[in-house]
Amino acid sequence: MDQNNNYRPDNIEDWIVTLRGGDFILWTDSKNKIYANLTITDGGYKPTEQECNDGLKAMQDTWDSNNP
Amino acid sequence: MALTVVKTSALSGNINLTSQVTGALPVANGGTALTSGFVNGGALTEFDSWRKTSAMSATSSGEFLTNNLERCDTAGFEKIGTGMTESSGVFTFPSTGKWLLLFNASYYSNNQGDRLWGKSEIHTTVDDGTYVQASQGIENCSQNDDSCSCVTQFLFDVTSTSTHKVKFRVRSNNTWYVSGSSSLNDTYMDFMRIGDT
Repeated sequence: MDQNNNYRPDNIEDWIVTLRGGDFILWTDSKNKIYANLTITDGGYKPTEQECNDGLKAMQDTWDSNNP
Repeated sequence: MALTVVKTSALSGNINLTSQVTGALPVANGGTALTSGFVNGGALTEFDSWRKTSAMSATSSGEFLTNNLERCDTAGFEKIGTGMTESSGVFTFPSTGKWLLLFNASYYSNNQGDRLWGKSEIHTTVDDGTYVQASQGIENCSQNDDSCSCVTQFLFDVTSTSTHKVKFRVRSNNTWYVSGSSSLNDTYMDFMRIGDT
């Protein structure tokens, strides 16, 4: 989330962390948080890239409706 | 006079305060004269700052920070001394001493409503095995899209660098978003050696 944009969700990790608790996201390059650099470390389900994009879009829509 | 020269024959170039001078160093405009405890440069010998570069979710049972921890690399920052080492969220000290630890966890109620409370916790071990919670900070967010920061600190007497270690945990009353950043200190921890053990 971009603190300079009032925490509007702007990356797929903003949605992924809502799936379950814990520190299970590992970026192989934390300066480039794209799906190809995503690793899940807790052995749980890794969502598809499409699921990540759809989840982020839904969060952004909710945020936009809450912050007109 | 506060200082006395004891080896005048050796005075040339730099003066060795240890072998050539006794007494107290006067302090201008009040204050207390220094008689011991001189540190080269008069400053800290160790300071380091690390941060979480990815988001995670705190839970009611608590979650340790294990992934995506990096030394601050924001322009203008430079550690002092050797610095900390980290593996899977466990931090090891470069030297013994009294270390002031600070941990800040940034929470955000990501359209999750009232989360009531979130905590930042420092956990330490003195036997490289059994960790105890040493301190905690607590804050609350009371509405959607609200944010808060929990700060806590602890003075850790590190008498052995092989047995005394530290890790950090976040805990909340419900699954709750903890933010991270690779460009600025958001959820972060500072390590400052402020004295000898």
